[in-house]
Amino acid sequence: MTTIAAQSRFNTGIYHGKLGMWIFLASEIMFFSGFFGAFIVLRNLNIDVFTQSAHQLDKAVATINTAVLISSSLTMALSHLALERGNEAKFRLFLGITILCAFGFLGIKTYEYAAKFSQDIYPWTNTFFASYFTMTGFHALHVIGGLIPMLWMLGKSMFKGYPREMHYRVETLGLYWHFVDLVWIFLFPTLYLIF
Amino acid sequence: MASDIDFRQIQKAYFKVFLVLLLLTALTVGVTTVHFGDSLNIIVGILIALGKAVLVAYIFMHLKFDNKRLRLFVYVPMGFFLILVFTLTLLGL
Repeated sequence: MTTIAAQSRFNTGIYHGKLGMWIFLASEIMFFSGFFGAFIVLRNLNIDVFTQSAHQLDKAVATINTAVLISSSLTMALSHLALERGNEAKFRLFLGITILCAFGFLGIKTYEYAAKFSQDIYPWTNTFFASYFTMTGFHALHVIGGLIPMLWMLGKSMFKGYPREMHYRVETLGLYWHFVDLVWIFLFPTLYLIF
Repeated sequence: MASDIDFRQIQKAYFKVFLVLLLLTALTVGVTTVHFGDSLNIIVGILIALGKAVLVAYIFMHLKFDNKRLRLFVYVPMGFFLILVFTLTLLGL
């Protein structure tokens, strides 16, 4: 493999990886739309159950988690900017912080789940918690899905070096990562705040 | 895309967006203590989330700087999403 730099297409000004990621993200928006639609319908039918159950969620912890995820979006954007400028050390630093934030998010989420389980609250407890665990669970899977290529990039950069021309890949991964942040931006008020 | 001046400006924009996102998060948590009435609280929550989404998509995800036609990939599914959310919410009120 000798060619590494992605080519922007002359007719769109966008390289293939970015276009592909946006098409995927469009499908992801519709994937999560299904959950939100189901959530609203179930809520309309069981408004009392939903109000009661939502008050059992830990708002403070979720707020901290929101801040963690927003911070990881910032550092992801900064790590791309650093590699685009050819500063690999900074790229590694910011990517490392992003990875730490992602693990932090998952850690806090695990704590939240464990707290619910210890109160005998499970996905089958009622329709609210069924929605809660499905939506946050799929979101957490997306976080894990983002972590894998991030760890791979960091490892490659540490052991083999990550050339500046590859910043396109970081940008594409960044698109995905910001999308995961976006999903949380909508999940947070829906599950924790509106009741 | 990155000359030195561009770089500084982009970096500044990232930090600004980050701060605004944190403020909006604080705001969206803060307004839950104020009770506008059930439906209005939901609408305020959705509007703040939309504001945050626009910032993330346009700045962090570079929609502002890329080919404008790329925005269709967001507008079309987001349009469906919003129609779904608003219709179903209104049906329940």
